[in-house]
Amino acid sequence: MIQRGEGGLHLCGGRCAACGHVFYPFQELGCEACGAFGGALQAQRLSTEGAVVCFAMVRFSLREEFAAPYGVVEVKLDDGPIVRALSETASDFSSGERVVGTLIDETLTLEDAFRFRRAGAKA
Amino acid sequence: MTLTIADLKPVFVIGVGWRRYQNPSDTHYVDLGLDAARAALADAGVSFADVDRSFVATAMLGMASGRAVLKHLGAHGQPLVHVENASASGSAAFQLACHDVAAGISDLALVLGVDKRPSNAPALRAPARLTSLAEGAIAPVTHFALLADQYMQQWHVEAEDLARIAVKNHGNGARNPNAQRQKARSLDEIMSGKMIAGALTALQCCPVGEGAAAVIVASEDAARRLNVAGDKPVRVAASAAASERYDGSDRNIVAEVVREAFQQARIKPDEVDVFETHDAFSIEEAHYVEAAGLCPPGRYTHLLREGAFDIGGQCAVSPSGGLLAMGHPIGPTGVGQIGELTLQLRGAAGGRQHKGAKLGVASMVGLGAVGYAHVLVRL
Repeated sequence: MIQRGEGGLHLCGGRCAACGHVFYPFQELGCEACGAFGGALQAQRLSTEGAVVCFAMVRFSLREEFAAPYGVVEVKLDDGPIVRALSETASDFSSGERVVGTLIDETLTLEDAFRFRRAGAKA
Repeated sequence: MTLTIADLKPVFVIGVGWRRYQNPSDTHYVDLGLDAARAALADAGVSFADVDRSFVATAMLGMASGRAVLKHLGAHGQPLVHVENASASGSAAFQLACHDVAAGISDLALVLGVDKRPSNAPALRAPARLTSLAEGAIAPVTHFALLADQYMQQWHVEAEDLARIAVKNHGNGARNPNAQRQKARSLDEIMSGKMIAGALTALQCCPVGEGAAAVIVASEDAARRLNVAGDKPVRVAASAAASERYDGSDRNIVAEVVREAFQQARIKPDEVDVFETHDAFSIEEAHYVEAAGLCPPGRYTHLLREGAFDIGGQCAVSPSGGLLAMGHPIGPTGVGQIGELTLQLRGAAGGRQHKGAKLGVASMVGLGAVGYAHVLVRL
């Protein structure tokens, strides 16, 4: 779902050759916009940069692996898809703020370590 | 060419009944279901032997759970269908019953919603095929907290404005003997409650427990033949359903399905007296009232302050208490909405009666993937 390469982190998304729909994560099960599947769905690297749509601080969690409080941010990626992920800090984010993906812990898997932080903030 | 319920034989709701919604308890679901089914049959003045087909809505009980209930009404061999459609399970079952009667396949149908959440366990969902970036970290309340944040930023709404939705619905629930939460709450109580996610506090989140609701659906012929409920019939003027679009939202589904229902019933939003909706979280009521066209986008909380959506206001929204106070036992919820509208249209809703109610609308969504809307009218 996430890869590290030249230019830093990117998300492993896809593009439908039949209708042009860009999506995340990559899958070949079928395009949600037009139903094309298999080879019609092509892998596409997506930038982790985008703009905040909305934010929520979770203060109560039933899941032991997600100890509250933690922040969840919804981001419209510059490459099109809208994704949700944890935020690096527990401070509020405003709609339109620029963010970029970062890793909080090199010992974790990329997926577990991925967070959004304010663009320009120190990684 | 496709047909709608408005093109077929008239359909009526002639009986309603509940087993009060409550926190998970030792009560067996069979007892819950029997109480509601018997109450609805008695309200209609019919027996189970008169029922041509039964539709049982559940989401948490397991396979063929309705059989264990209905056999105690006298197993008489008539068809039985189980329906699961997440929060909209009861709405889906009601639609199937309406279509069955409208098509002339059945004259009399029982719709029973019954459910029971296992203690201290969330409702079980089918496992996702694809994982997200924050898999497991986004519970339903977090999804709606995100939508609340977006709404508040877009329309310059304060957390207190959303909390007023819960104040209204808890107040309505306090007047409903079948509601799970029957205590009126002040704005301060709602605001100072346990913070769950974003602007949403505990009392702005619906309780998921257990209970049952049932309605009896009848053709005109059956109502006449059985000589039942002469002054009670409430007609089902529209029944619409939709599922998600790849770029859509819960709000879009409600807008689409309510618009379709209004077209079927040939009514306009300003004719709606009573509106029951899927207010599992306070923000949802604002979204869905606006989506239904009952007020312009971004105006809901302003009109709420003025009392427009109180019982006795322009349109009573969630007079049952809604999911926030009535509760959300899943399978029964959509059926209970139909029951509430029926009571309101009969003028039989007691202390929460919206005076002069002639037209009611129920809308439900199921996990953001399916939507239903029904229009009921008093004859």
